[in-house]
Amino acid sequence: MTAVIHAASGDVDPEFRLPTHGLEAAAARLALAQARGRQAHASLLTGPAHAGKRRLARWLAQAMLCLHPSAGEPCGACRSCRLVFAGQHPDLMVAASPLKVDSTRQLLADLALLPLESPRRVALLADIDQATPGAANSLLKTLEEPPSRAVLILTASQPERVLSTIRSRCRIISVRPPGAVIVAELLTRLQDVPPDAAMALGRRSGGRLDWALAELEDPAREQERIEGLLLLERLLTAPRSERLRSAPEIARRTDALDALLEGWIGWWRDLLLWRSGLPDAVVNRERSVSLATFAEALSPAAILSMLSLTEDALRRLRANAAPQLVLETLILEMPS
Amino acid sequence: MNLTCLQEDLARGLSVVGRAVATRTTLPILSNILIEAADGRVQLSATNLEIGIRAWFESDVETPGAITVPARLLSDFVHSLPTPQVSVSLDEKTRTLNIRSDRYRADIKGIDAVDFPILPTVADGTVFMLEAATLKEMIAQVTIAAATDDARPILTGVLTTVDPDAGRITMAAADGFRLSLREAQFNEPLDGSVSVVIPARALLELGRVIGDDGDPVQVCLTAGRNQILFRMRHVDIVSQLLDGAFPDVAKIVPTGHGTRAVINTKALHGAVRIASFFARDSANIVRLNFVPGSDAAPGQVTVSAQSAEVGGNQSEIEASVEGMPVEIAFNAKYLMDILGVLKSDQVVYDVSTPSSPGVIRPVDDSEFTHVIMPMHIAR
Repeated sequence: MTAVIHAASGDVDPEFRLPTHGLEAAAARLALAQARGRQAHASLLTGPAHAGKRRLARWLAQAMLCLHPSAGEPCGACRSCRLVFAGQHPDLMVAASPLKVDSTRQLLADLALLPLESPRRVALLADIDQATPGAANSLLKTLEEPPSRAVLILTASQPERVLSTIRSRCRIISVRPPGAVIVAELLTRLQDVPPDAAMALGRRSGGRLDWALAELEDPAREQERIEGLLLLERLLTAPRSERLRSAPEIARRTDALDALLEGWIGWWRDLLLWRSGLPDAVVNRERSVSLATFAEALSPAAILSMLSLTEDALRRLRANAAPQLVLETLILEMPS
Repeated sequence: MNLTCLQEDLARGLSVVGRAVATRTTLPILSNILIEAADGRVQLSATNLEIGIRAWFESDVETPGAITVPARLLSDFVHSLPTPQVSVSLDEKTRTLNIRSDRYRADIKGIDAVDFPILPTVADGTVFMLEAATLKEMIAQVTIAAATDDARPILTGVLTTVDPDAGRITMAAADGFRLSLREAQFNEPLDGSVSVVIPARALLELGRVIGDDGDPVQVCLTAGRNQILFRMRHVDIVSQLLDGAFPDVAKIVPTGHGTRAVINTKALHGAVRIASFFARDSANIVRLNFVPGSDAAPGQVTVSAQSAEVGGNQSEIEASVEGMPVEIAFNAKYLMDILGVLKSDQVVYDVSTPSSPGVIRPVDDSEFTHVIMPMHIAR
């Protein structure tokens, strides 16, 4: 579906084809540095997950590899740009994520060669915060003294989990999501999403275009989100014994936990908005009926406390706490 | 594209370029071989972005064209054909290569040729000639010392310098434990000097391909100095150059020595090989004990290895030894590597203390120098 955004032709890797929609400010800053010949040998793009870091990283790589850049921006038409779009550029190396030590070493060895077709060799290392310690350490030497024509572009959604020795060797660029209003506008303009639905999706995405696009592309995610909310509502009305029983079961779905808790945080926020008399601002409109019921039953203090507890739980999960323990604590704290 | 050629030519070409086909790659086109047909010539190219190989042969080309097809499939199919003649044609619309030979036929789906990385040609830069036999020998002697792991990528390369004023070409490789340095005469006129780091893997490939036909090898450095091209009669090898600072090799070669031994190469090689069997369990350590000669007895070098579990051995080799008696430990593998590529009957072995490097040179030749770091022996 992303191909709609840019009239794509032939075998195009859609992710490469997305321009810098919603990230214009960061892109302009990078282009300026680029045009003045002040590009850093290593950049670390930080920002929330699905904020468009990887998209911007690829755009930056394309700008660095482009044979006829204008004002630091890629031309989009030269052989180099075409190869980047097709995912076939010989001087662009994209590391598989999460980074492992063997593939990183291989990539760094490739990076030590001089460029084949472009003025530089660029390596894209996404989610450096997820890298194994060995992989992260193997990068240090190259980050410290990179080969003269090599450029590394790293991304991380949790920069505090990146080795400080990596952070200190990179130019840090924070990628700020464009915000719900702009996302909604883009969704309407580019993907013909009706304004109402676009605004709801924009809010739900937390103003992150890539998150919204991913949900548009994959209806299963929407389904999963609603099921997650139903689960939360069920838990709130269930007796303690049943709640405790369900914790290990939920904890087993390790891959979906992050999204689940993000959904719960949104739901608690909606409840608070509803309770404060702002029912139009809620994100999870399809749950209005139950939001109304719960808003009546719970005090603002209880809602606020649950919101912050859920946020804490998500933070702990991301910091690698045991999922079952985190969930048990959270679920038992829920008001009955 | 429409052409007829000999199965033998095509199969040979595919084998040569097949060595450069990328085995694990993120770019699908690199698992393909580029086939170009024009002007009575078929050209095959493959690259893994480090090494590129291009091979060509004469054939009957009716209509020119180009396509890339999966290397392994094409190569396996062509090699299995029992018939001498092969006809190849390309369906431009479906990018399908059709290969016919007597009663065998195959359709292989390809990727458009324009996306294939551009390999440089000789017209692109500085060109000079090197003598094939010398180059082959240099490669064999130097690449043994290049690093094989990628921890410091620059050390997997061979520093190659050409100084036309002094008339010397020098190749050097070092992996932190040993250094190989080889010089040779160079009489070509050349504008300016050359200093590049070539991946050892590319040179080994070149060493394999250099024929014994005695034709000199044409070397071309691209204008951007990113790549080096070696042209032989039917094959081009292109190597991407390494980027980075190579260690100062001149500083690594020790200047003085405390003990000098002249030893029979074969005898030393044999003794080290025997000792290496016993050294397998003890970090490959072999000890060389240099005993100077006196009026009464000739000098000798004792090669020994000990392992706590399996036992030990000792070989004595007669040698002319001058200087102080000394015992030094070396890695058996490193010694065997160097002794295996020396052609000279006798080697000069210079050492000074148990903790300083040993220098090995052929006795009749000052152009080759090999330095090995000793191993620490606990006493």
